[in-house]
Amino acid sequence: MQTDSPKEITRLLVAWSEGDQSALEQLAPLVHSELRRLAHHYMDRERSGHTLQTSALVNEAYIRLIDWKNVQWKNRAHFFAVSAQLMRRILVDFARERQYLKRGGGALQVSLGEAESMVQYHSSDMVALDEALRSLAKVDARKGQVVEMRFFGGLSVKEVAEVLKVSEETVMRDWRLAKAWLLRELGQETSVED
Amino acid sequence: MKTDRWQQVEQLYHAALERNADERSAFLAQECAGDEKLLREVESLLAYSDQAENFIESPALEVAAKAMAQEQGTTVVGQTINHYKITSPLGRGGMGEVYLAQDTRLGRKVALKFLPTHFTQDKQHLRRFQQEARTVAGLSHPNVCTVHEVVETTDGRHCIVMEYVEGMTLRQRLAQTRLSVLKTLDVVIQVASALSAAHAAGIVHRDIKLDNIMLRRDGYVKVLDFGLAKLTEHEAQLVDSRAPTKVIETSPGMVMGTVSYMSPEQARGLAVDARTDVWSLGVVIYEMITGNQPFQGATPTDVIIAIAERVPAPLSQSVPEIPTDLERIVVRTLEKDRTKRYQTANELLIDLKRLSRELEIGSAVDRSQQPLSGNEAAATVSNEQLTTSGFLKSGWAGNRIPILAAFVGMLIIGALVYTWFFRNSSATAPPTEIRSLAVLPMANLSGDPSQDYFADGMTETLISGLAKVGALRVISRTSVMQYKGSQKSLKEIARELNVDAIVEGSVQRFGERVKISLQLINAPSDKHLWSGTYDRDLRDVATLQNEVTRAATEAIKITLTPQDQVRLARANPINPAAYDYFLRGRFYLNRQTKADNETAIEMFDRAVAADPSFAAAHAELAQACVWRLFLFTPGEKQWEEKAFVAVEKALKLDPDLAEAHLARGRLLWTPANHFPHDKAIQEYQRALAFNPSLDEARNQLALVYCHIGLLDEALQELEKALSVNPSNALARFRVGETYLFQGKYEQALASLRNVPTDVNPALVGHQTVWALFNLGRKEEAVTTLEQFLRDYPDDNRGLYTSLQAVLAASEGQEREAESKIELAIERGKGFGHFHHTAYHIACAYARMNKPEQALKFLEKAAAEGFPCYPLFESDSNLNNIRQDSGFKMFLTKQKQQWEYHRTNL
Repeated sequence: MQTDSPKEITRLLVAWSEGDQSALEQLAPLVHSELRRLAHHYMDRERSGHTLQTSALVNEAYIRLIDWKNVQWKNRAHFFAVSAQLMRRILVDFARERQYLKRGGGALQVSLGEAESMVQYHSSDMVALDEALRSLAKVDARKGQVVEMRFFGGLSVKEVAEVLKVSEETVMRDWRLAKAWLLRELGQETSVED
Repeated sequence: MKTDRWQQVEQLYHAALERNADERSAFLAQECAGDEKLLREVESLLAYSDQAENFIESPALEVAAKAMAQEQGTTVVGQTINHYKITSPLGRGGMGEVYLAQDTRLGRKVALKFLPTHFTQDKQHLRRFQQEARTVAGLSHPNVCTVHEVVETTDGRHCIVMEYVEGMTLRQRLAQTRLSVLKTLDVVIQVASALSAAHAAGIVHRDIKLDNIMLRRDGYVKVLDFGLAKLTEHEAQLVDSRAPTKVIETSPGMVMGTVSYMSPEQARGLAVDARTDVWSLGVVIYEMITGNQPFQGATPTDVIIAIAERVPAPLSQSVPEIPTDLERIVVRTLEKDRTKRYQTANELLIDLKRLSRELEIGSAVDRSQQPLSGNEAAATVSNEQLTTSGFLKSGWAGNRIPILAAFVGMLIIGALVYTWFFRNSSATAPPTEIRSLAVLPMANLSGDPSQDYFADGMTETLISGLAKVGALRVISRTSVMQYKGSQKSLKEIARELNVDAIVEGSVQRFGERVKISLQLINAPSDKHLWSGTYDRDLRDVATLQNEVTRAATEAIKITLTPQDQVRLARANPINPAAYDYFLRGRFYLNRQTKADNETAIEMFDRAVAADPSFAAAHAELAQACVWRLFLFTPGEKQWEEKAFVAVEKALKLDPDLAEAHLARGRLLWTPANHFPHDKAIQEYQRALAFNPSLDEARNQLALVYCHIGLLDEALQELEKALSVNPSNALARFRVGETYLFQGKYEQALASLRNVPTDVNPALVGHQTVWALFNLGRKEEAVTTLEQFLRDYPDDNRGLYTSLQAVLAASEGQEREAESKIELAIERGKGFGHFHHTAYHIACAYARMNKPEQALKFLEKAAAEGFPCYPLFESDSNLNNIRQDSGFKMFLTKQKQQWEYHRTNL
């Protein structure tokens, strides 16, 4: 099954991108399971001292999730976009699950940033971020996409530029502003909650 | 927000960011030109710009992955893998997370360990691991955590299904309190025992550390993760090609714990063998004793350097009262050069056990030196009663000699066989053949001297058990008893007893429990070959029997002859009350005084009353009566009768009972029975067939041989008897006597002088006088003789008086000689055992040239049990009558009989 995963995921991704909503139903658990496996892989290696490059896991995830060789070049950009959407769905669902569990008492902290000084966000923030991202998309759809592809899809600036058919500079500008906007949005929410 | 308005915000935001922070306010105030709303919008976004720098830079996947990895415990719980339903997380170690699960098929709790996926991705390593797991699964050892199987989950992960061990890791335990030295040894011995078994099966653990050692609440220690380290081996091999420091640099997160226990060869990435486990266990011991790791450093690299180069501080530096032997053991486990280390876990195990036992004895002695409180004293007394009844109920003893004999015997035999086998299979140790051994008196650790009989009984039981193995020469009880409490080294003792190996041990009875510790030591090298501790509830004998039998029989097949197996196989249950009387009876019997002999007879009487089917007790009763008859009250015929009845009962119950045949032989070969040589020889030979190490049977056989002139044969038997029991004084005397009959007077005198003087002075003295006389040292002979008669004026067999006759005759004092002969005949009357006196009288008459009388007494001597043809044929005392036709005829007849005996017995 493990070896069939990427092919099956690719097939379902194609189906979903072509409008087959039922494909998502099958896709989500498959990807989730694969991600879980990768997550373990990642954690184990981290524990034994093999700290991965930030992008390594993500690259590995995509290599494993998507059967690149069987995806035609013209569809590539589309796939980036679709898989980022998919990832967002799965990860936010996962976070929502965690948020539910957290209320049941299980504490889980995840950091949305890397720097030590960064505010530690709870998994509930992934859900909040998803909501903020929705608001951002209403203000600026492209910036919403940039965040979706960069953060949830794990794509590089160059890849996002390719998908959106804009310059990399534009992606960088979008990204920079979107992050400030989202933080402000989240900060306001947090202050309301607190 | 309108699109153009948003574009405005965006433009201003980026433009402001391009400016220095102190210029931004002025810039924005100018650009917004009174549009307060726009200004606030841009400023509020800029306020977040610095924070936003790192915000969501890590992909969500990575964030989620961490969360997913951590939340595994909650999501896997409730899942079912094959027929294992996961119920709760147990923790996680370096080798994957562990869950408690219910085996729904077998209805038992198991532990599931999920292996990290990167360890199982390499198919070849996975296969090797699975092979190893199967080997471990086949390893049934109480200290090895059992692996049931390795299963693959539907999402391609692998998990080990293993025995669920309830308890805590050694690390957790040590975090609470330090363990005592004895407790430390107890734990370490169990680990070494597990390793020993694994090594024997070809499995090297490779990752012995505090975290892999589990302590169960009942005291059992379980070693986890056997063979698991094999999965990571490829990483170690990668390490191999690089410098050690570089390895560590590539693994900054590498857990210190893992590095700290690595052997030097492991740290260098070399191929490892069993000796790496010996090292790691050494580190564990060090840590348990001192609370610190022997090799420390700020970084893993430093630790590795310490492992390679530094000699750890002695244990005594942290714990001054540490036994020096433990220090020595740890130093040897932590030898950097693995050829200098203990070569196997078993070697280490033996030393640990020995030390543990020594310390236990030490603390027991300490305990026994403390006055008992009233309660304790009372408990001791009631314990004794309890133990007796508990012990007796259990039915340890066999119909013939107790089961315990067989059991302890089998233990040792099993161990010996194992040792032979193991040593032969081990390339490092040269094979040592053990053909002889001595069982030293087992220490009575009960702290109660009244329990001595129990320890002595165990010793004797062990000796008789071992003695049944034909290929083994086992030193007899009397010879080993002299070493009770001896300060001599085992080496010295072994040299004195001329044995290859020594068995020593201790017996401890506490209430209903008995603890027997045994160890086998190769005497010349002082090397421990085997040791075992058996701590049992006396009532659990059925289990114990099975356990021991199972363990021993397998090994027994290797070297024991079918005959040996038959000897050891018998073990009929007997009334346990009888067994305790039996042990007590033997204890008193061995003390050989008249009062003790009476007590012994009383004990054996009680034993057979309690269990009339107890064959060994009947045999011992017979022996006791024989001693009584021969040594203490020869006139009391009732003892002979009683002895006969007991012997016949014993042999009816068990025809193969060596001691009964010995007793029967003794009873048969008496003056009253006219010394039936053939029958006696037959009995002794049977006794020896059933117990080749029964030295008394050999001595008795030699006695008969000696009387019928089979002098070489007698010497052979005596040599064997002395090799088993060097302190058999009667055998030493018999050697001298035999030389005497061979005309080897110098040798005879030397042998006789070697016999302890307190043993039957009548026998030794008269033959010494005879040797001196025949050597022409008449004055000495006379002096010795006179001294003896002063000491023992009632020369009850007329032996000395007859010697006086010979001396007088040789001096030509015929009247004196005749009068002494007369006196000797008078003194020997009614005793029956007259043949030696008769022979001396014959010699005196021969000296006086009186062939007729001489011949008369020669015939009497021969007819009454002393047909010693070689003596008659060569003794110069008879030279005067050699030409006599009657003597010639007598000699011819004697020769025929002698030749018949020589070829037929």
